[in-house]
Amino acid sequence: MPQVEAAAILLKLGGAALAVAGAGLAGLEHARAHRRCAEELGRWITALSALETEISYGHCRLADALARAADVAGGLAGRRLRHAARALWEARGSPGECVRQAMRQLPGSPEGQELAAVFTLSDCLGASHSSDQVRHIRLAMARLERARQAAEERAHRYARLWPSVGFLTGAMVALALL
Amino acid sequence: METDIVLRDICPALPGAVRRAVESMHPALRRGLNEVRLRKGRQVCVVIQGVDYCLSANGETSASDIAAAPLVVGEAAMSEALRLVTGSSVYALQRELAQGYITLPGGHRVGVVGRAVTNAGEGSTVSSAAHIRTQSDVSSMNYRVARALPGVADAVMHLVLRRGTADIRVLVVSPPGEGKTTLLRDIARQLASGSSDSQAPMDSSEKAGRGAVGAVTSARRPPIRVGVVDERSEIAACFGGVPGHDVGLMCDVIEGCGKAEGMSILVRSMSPMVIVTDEIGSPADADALLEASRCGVGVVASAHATGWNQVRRKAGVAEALESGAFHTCLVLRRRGATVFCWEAIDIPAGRDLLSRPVPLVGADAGGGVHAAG
Repeated sequence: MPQVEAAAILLKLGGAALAVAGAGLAGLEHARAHRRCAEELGRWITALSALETEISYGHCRLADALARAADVAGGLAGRRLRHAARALWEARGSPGECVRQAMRQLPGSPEGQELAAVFTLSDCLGASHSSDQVRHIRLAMARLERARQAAEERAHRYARLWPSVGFLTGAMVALALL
Repeated sequence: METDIVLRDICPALPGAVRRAVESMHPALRRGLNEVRLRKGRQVCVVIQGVDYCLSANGETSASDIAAAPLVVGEAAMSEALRLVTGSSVYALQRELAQGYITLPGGHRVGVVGRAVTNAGEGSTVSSAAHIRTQSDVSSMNYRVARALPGVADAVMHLVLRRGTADIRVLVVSPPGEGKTTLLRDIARQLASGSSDSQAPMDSSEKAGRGAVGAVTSARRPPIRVGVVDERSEIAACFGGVPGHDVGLMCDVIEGCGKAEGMSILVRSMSPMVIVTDEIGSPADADALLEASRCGVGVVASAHATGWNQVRRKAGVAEALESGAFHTCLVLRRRGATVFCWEAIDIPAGRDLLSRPVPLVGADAGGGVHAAG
């Protein structure tokens, strides 16, 4: 019988450890997602900066310009832009439609409201002369920069909070188990 | 099997409904298609073998307005057309839009007109294209199908070469859309490729048309260095630096720059024996042509005019003619589906070298030169 009790205690301890580790890791991951969002927004700003350069030169077509911006940006932003460039090459729709397609095909953070500036920009991308395009791109970059700052602030704020919440929740579950 | 260049090059740049209508056209009609014209708020028109028709949504053509299934170009269709033609890159085509055309891969030119945006403000009156920054509110677009017709210049090569390869100074004249560019392209190809003993013999009409010029030796002619100033990418239709049309082995192409600058660059950098260029008309063009001929470089150029009497009074060309930049003027004229070399003027003597018009027949369709001028 003592062996059975010892085994039950060991099982409980193992479960408690797993609960603490799992919840803690979930908290860490949540905090990391905030940081990744800020980083991705930074990549979008870099991409738009490269796009601005390409468009201001006025030499290459939008699909090529998007592909080059994708190479500069890297990460998920780069993959999404490359997808949009390919869709544009294949004439699958307007730039706005191609960017939205890419977002749907490659989901991830940031999305929706945080990339509203990109969606707005994509609707008028390539439709006017270069100085006008540059103006639109700079406006989108400014909006993205504000979104990035907000995301950084959130990431900073939650950098300790979410891991702590995770580990504490894990500890409470462990206590309940024990 | 012959490639349908309308399906390959033109249809991808047409808005959905118009594309489907053109795809539904009878293949024989499509082979003769010269132009597709979109006018906002009006029916789509096509030009087949030089004749205008309205196009229905199911691909049928009519000489008058179509009552059943008319194909009317709306705002959305025009925006889509502009997006497809520019590849969503209006910013990269400002210069072309300011000049009123965009060239598609394959050398097909799309004419674009709307409201001019000028340096002085949108819609203000302008006297020169230099003041136009771009165009907005596009109201009409004209897709012109460019067809390479190898051999179309066969009937006039003896006129081009009547003073030998060392002295080629030829002006090709016709109204728009009557085959100047197609002819220039084949002249460039034949000069840059040379000729062989096995070249096709002249047909009887060609022999008859030679009149005062007489027979030309059938001996092999070696290729000569040809430089093409292709301001609108129509002659060679380069894509990624590779000519889309056959312009011959020894042909160098400069595209996208003005004719005067292009000729100057070619003479300096590629030492061509002949320069081929399209649609001259400004005093700067005339100066550059004269400069090229002073350098010992031959010139084959084209100009818009209905005939010799008009072109010799045309500003920009008259100066070049007076200064001796050309010795032969070929006047093209369309009659039905066929384009003829109507006159071949010996400019110094002021006489016609042809006893009767010579048809210009290409190798692929068996018809005349298609509208490509």
